Amino acid sequence: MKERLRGLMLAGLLLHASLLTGCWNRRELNDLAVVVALGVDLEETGYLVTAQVVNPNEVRSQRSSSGSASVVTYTEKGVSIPDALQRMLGKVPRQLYLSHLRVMVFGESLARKGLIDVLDYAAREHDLRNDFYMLVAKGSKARDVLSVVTPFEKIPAESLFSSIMVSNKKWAATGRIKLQHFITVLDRGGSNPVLSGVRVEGDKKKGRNNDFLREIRPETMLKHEGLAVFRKDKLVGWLGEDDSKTVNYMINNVSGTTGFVPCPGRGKGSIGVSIMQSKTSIKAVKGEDGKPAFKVRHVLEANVDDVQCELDLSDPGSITLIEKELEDLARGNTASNIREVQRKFASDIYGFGEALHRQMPKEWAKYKSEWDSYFKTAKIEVNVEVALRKVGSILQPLKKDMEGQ
Amino acid sequence: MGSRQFFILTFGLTVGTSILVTPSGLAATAREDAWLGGLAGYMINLGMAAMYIGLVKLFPGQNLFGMFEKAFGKWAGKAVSLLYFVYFLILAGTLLGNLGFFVTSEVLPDTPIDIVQILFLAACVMCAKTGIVVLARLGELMFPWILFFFMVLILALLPQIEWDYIAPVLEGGLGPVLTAGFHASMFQELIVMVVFVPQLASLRNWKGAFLGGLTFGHLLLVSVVLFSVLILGIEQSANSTFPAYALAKTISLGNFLQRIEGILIALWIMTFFLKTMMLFFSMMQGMKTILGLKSASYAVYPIAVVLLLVAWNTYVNSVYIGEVIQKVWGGYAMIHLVAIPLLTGASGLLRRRMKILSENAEPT
Repeated sequence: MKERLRGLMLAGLLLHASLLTGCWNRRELNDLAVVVALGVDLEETGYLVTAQVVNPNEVRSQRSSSGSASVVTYTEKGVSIPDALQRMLGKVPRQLYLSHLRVMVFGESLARKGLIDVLDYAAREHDLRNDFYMLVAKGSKARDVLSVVTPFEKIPAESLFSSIMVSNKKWAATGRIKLQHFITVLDRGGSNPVLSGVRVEGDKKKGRNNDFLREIRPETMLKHEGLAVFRKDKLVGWLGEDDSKTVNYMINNVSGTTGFVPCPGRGKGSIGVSIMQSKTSIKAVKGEDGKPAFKVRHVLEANVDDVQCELDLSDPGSITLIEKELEDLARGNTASNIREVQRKFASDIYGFGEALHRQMPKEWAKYKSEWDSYFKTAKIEVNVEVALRKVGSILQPLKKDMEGQ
Repeated sequence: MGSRQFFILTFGLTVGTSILVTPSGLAATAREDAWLGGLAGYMINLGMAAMYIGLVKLFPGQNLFGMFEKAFGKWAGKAVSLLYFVYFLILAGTLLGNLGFFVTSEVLPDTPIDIVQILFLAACVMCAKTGIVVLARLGELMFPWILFFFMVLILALLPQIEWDYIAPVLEGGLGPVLTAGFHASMFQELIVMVVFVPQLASLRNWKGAFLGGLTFGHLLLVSVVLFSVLILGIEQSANSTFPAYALAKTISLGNFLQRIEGILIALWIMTFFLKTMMLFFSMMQGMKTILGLKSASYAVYPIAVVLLLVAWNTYVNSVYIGEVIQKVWGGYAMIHLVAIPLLTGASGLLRRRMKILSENAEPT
């Protein structure tokens, strides 16, 4: 009797073990279609969704490829995004897997109409993480952007992803914006979001074919270009390179970029500087008319990159001169760029309203409801402080040495 | 049970569900001051804990249910005990429901929720059969891990802090902070610990352990709330179903240490388990007292079955439960956390006074 009981218990234990072998909803790698980029466009009855899916056989580097593209781009219409993704399963042989998404691209017409419904889906879908970047296809459909093959990186989405990282870090004229950041900026009063733009340069049709990559200078390329200004969730316009930089300076999203000032005194040429550190703070103050005004303090640390003038760089006075000039230039630049956004878009992408909210909550309460229209005429004063640190590997400008002989 | 174990169990009870659920409500009510709301909740909990300590002094050697019989007489006491039994049942049931919803909505979306809950409940039943002492030891085993995961969470999030997010402080005055604090303080259910006081080996350090566990638990809670505000911002803290999990999802250290939310779930599962088990044991004690059972272990299976039913029927959907938490729960919990303990204490004091009076009256 006891033996039998023991046997029964053993059987029970073994049965338990069978429960432990795997999860209920395990997803094996070879059943998945890994979506690396998702594009959303406006369609009359809903959305046109584009999914760029990795073709695992072609990405493998060990084996010589059979010549087919390393990603496949599927498009499908649907009333909502999940609806379109479901319908896409009629074409894709595997289950779509969204967790490894790198970029999400919105068509410009969709962005102009408003992104809020798409954002709701993206924030709600638990498979989507928060580590992908969002982009707007400048002047085209998201589908076109996701149909271009890229040199260098086999997966175009990966190429977009890493070029945002690099360009944002070294150039500062593009935006590195993730879903969570966008929603936070959108939801709180007193700030409006921006998104980075991407454009197809060259022939869209040609870009679809893997073959054109054999050329050393591929004709079609994806290019990051400027920031898109949003008022709430709607795109209202584009910023050029210089204005985009200003935005990144203002929201402290610059880790390095370059700039130049004309040579002091007479003479042509310019001095190039690379910005090493930048920190901007906004202070809300009470203006003379009793209404809120703002003081921007921008502290820059820069190195001298190239010198095209005959300047005596061994003289500390020259350094002060360059600093002064850089300060004036940056001040004027920032102030005029802010003014332009105020006037043209009336959209507070710099977060002045938020600064007011955090620093003078009582004042904020008065302007909260119509912030964007007040922002249009708000007084903003910019102050720049520059510190030049290094002059590079040589001291005197070569031009000066040459002329001096 | 030693006082260190008591400390850990109190800690588990404090953190349990609160770590997942409260940040969202706090942020919705107190906005940027959510963390102050957490502190206010701590103060309120301290007050309640002081009251419970008073109860234990007033009725030495009695557990919660015994106190009711002493204070209100046999039948009224049983009735009150039944109220608490139901309270604990609903609590444990919603806890189980919450766990199921959390796991199936964030981690295992295609797994039937019943399976998750039944597996968890099976572990609970096993633990319940072995007794509170084993749970206490389990707590000791889990505690370093809970700390470890918590430290990982906090340290990995440090670089993402946006100090701006915390201003303005006290924009709406103290009102919202206190309201939020009151609501948050209704989720720690420290009265459960009163059930276990008689099982302590010695009463020497228990007050320290009790208040220590409570304090330490709140330290964790308030830091999670603070980090939610500092990193997610109030809008997303308030609008997330599980802000603490959303927080874990944002971890990304140098593009290397990321996507570790799957591991950090252990933090919640462990504290969930501690809390569910504390409630489970309380219910067993309650059933024993109410029905006059010889041993509390008879109650294990009935409770398990009813618990599952409660879980399935209370946690209909997350919106419904949110509504209940916002509108009903505060008052309902307050009856059990404040009103009845106060009555019990008052009755106990009155009875003692009468006893002293009658003793004094006799000799004369």
